[in-house]
Amino acid sequence: MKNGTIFVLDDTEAITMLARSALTMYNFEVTECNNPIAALEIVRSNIFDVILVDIMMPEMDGITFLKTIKEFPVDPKTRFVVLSSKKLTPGEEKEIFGLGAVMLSKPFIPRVLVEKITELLQ
Amino acid sequence: MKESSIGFLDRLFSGSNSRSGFKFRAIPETLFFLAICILINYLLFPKDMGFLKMPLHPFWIIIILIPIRYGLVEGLISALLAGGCYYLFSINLASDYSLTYPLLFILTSGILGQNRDVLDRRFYRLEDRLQIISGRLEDYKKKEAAYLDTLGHFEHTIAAQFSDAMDMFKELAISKKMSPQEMKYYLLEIIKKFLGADNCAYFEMIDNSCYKIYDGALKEQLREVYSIEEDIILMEAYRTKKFAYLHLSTEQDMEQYDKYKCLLAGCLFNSEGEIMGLVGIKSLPFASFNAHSFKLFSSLLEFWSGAINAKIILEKTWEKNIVDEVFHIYKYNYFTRRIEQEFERAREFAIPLSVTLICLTDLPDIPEEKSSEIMAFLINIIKKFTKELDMVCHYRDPGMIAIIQPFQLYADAEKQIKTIITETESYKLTPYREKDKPLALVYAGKDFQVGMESCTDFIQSIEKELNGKITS
Repeated sequence: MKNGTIFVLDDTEAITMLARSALTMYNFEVTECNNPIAALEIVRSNIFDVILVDIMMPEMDGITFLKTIKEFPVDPKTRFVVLSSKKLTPGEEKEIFGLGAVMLSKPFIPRVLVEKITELLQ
Repeated sequence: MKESSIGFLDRLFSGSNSRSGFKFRAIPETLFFLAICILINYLLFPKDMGFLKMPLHPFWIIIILIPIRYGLVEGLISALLAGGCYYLFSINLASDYSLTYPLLFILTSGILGQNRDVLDRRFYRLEDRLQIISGRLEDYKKKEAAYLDTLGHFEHTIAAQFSDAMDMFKELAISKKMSPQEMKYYLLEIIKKFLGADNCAYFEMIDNSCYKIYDGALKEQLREVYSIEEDIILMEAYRTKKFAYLHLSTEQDMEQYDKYKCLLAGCLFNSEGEIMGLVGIKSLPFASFNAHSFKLFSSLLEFWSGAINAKIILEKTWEKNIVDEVFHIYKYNYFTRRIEQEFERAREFAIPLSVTLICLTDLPDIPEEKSSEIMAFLINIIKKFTKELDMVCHYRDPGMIAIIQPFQLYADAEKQIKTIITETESYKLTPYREKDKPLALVYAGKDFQVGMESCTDFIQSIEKELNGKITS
């Protein structure tokens, strides 16, 4: 029995792999993706407990991605985590909170990620 | 010399067994010859018992022979007996010279006997001197034999010292491949070999207590508490930082000495001149208990101190250098340190960690001149397919390589390993002595699991899996 299903979206493969590895260690089922366009399709057709999204991606930024999937019939229990390596503007922060997402700065310590997700799922 | 001053009465009473004592057998001999003469006289001239007044009376034979044969006292007694007999048998003749003959008998036997005694005394003196000279000659022979033995021993010692020094250097060369700990035990082996010391031991002072670390009879490390205060010689060596030995004069002294304590002891010093260890010899053949052995023993300790220090410094330098200069991968000692750190990091920060062991099985079957080449080839392929963060290291045994892969699960790592194996196999190398046998690689790996407590257990579990694959 898995602790939860997690979707990780980041254009940097190393980040998705690290997140996947760390979460897998803690018995989460992880799906990773490095392309936001392809990710939309995955999210549309699957149900995840938590969705992790990088804010800065070349084809689509994280906020737009979250807005897009909010239009899908997503599970209301699904939680969102936004990964960011830059300092967000007050407007961006407001938008993120408005979408019901929590922030996690990059680079992250895997334990912090695991703890954050565990906390969200509780 | 004592015989020369012996007197007449001394001779008479000194007993027949003594060399110069009175010879009692002279009396029966005299009486016997007198009886013979009288009997002949009686048989030939029964009517005249005075031998018909022959001008040379037969009794003169006795008077002359007995003192010549036995000396003064016996001669005088024989003369008295002969004179008595002469007087008794010739008294009826009432001639004038009946007393003249007995007096002549006494006088003649006295002169002859005295001469005999003088010659005897001279003979005895010469005999005594001969005995003394013979005794001295024996002493000289013994001394000569001893001198020859000593000379031989010296020659042997000189030759042995030279050969011992040469052999010692050879032994030093053997120690090149040993660890400092092995060298400490091996020093005892050398002491046994060169000095014939059956019972010797290596001691170390740890926190002001003396421990017996090695016993000459056992290769295993002991670390037994040893009461140095009760061992005078070992204590002396420790206190003075010099070679110390028990002063023995005889072999009996050695036999009586307590076998559990040291006869000889010396120190090994580290590069700072502090005592690194002590070596004590508890039993030694008495013949070897000499200045040569002492010198050899102290020279050995001096050589060995230098050799052990050099080895320690070399190992420290070696440990500081974490990369193998030949293959350009990390050394095993670095692996052991690094894996501990990575394991702790994985535990603390939940960082994924994967370790894989790759074994080039049947390495001994690869000819020596090719084995390095094959290892270099394999390492190049491994490095080609691993990431910059991954650490490729030598593992404990030759032909074994460990790969530490942080931030990676074994499921991902295994894909890389499979690629490495496939790539290696694609070269179709057949380096073994059996020409058709392809290069055989076996691998096993695991990743860090939440809840793991011991890095050693983690590595051992991988090793166990690898061994299982090798044996199957």
